[in-house]
Amino acid sequence: MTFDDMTLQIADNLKRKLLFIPDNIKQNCEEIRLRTGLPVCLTVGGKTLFVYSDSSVCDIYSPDALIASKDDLKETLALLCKHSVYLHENEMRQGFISLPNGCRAGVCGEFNAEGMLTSVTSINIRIARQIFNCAKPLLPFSKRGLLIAGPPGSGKTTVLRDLVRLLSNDDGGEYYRVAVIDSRGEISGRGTLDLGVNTDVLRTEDKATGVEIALRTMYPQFIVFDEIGTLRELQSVSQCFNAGVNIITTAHAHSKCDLKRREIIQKMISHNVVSYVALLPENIGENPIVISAGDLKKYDDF
Amino acid sequence: MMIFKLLGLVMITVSSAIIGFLKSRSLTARRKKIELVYDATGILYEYINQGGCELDYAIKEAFTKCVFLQVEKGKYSCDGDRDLTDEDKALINDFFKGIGRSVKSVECDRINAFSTKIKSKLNDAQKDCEQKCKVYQTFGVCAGLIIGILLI
Repeated sequence: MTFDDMTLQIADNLKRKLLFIPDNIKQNCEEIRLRTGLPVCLTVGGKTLFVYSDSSVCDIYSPDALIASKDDLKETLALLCKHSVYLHENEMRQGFISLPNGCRAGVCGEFNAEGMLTSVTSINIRIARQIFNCAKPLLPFSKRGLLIAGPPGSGKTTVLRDLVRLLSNDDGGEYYRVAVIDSRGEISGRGTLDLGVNTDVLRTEDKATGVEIALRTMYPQFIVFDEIGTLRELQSVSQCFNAGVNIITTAHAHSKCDLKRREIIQKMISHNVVSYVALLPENIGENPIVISAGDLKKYDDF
Repeated sequence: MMIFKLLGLVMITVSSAIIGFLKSRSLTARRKKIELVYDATGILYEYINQGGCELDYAIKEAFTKCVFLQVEKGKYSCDGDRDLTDEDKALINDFFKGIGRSVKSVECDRINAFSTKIKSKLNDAQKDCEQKCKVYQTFGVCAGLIIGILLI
């Protein structure tokens, strides 16, 4: 999805200014952030840029920046939901709305006692990009369990998506059967992104159950999902390992020390569920560092 | 001369009868349109309750027969219709203004509330039709005859 496509789902007031920002900014924009009463921000290459009323952008804030009003956020939310907030009820309870083409809008504001968002004060629209062949360097390491780790915004989901496509499409040596557990619609873009010819997609919020269902029903060779985080997910993943199915998943981590601190990751590595960990750098474009589980175990008494 | 008088009488009677008929037809059309809206509301409720499709699709499917409903830039209204009263239009326009902005339970409650109000309008329109349609038609014919006789 291009930047201009995304602006179609933003309030008219702001859309008119965003459409005319410089093309090089549009091409590299990762996020559009709207906050009530605050300037409209873009995240480009990890940096925050402020948008001004004349459609210029600058990394320095000044009071004449383009400000998003409460009505702008209301209108944007209605457009993002396609005037069907009821369809996104479960997602909004978790603070996000999944959009076409793998994009996602994080929403925050005031939640009522039932956990439902009653007023939105911030919207963060993440623009997903499908970068073909970015996961090729990781292909050789994916055949016996792989954990892709990295800080937020480092491209974990982008790399994961491409790895699924490569494995499914014979780039890994054969047309592997890949099952993707897509809890937020980001990996598959709800069917709009290319995941290869031999991929099954299971959309469920409960990743652990999704893994179990895929294992039982789809006879996959790989099971892939984003962001392992709970013990239950780890238990499901262990079942896969026992069944001879390879797991590829992601986790947040800035460094080897971070990997060491996360209990789930420690258990995954100590139980040999993954054989390699690929640590993505903060700057997109640099090569990932691939560490074997064996080396990680030796690292400071992992 | 007599023929022209008779022709004149027939023309006046027919014209007056047509006016009476058109007036009663307007009442019938109003009743039918409100009935279509009421039926469509039930279908819309099911679509939203099941939560499987977006609002635009749900409205399009539910209100297929309501051709008097105008869509402009994603907004629904019936301002252009000649048979519905201003109150009817205000009720329907208000319903469409607020729809799609809340969770399922609130939307379903909103649709139920609208359904109750439109049902009440339908009952009134039905009574109007029963009481006034025949009166207008009969009055049209009689008035035509009387005027014709008086003039001729």
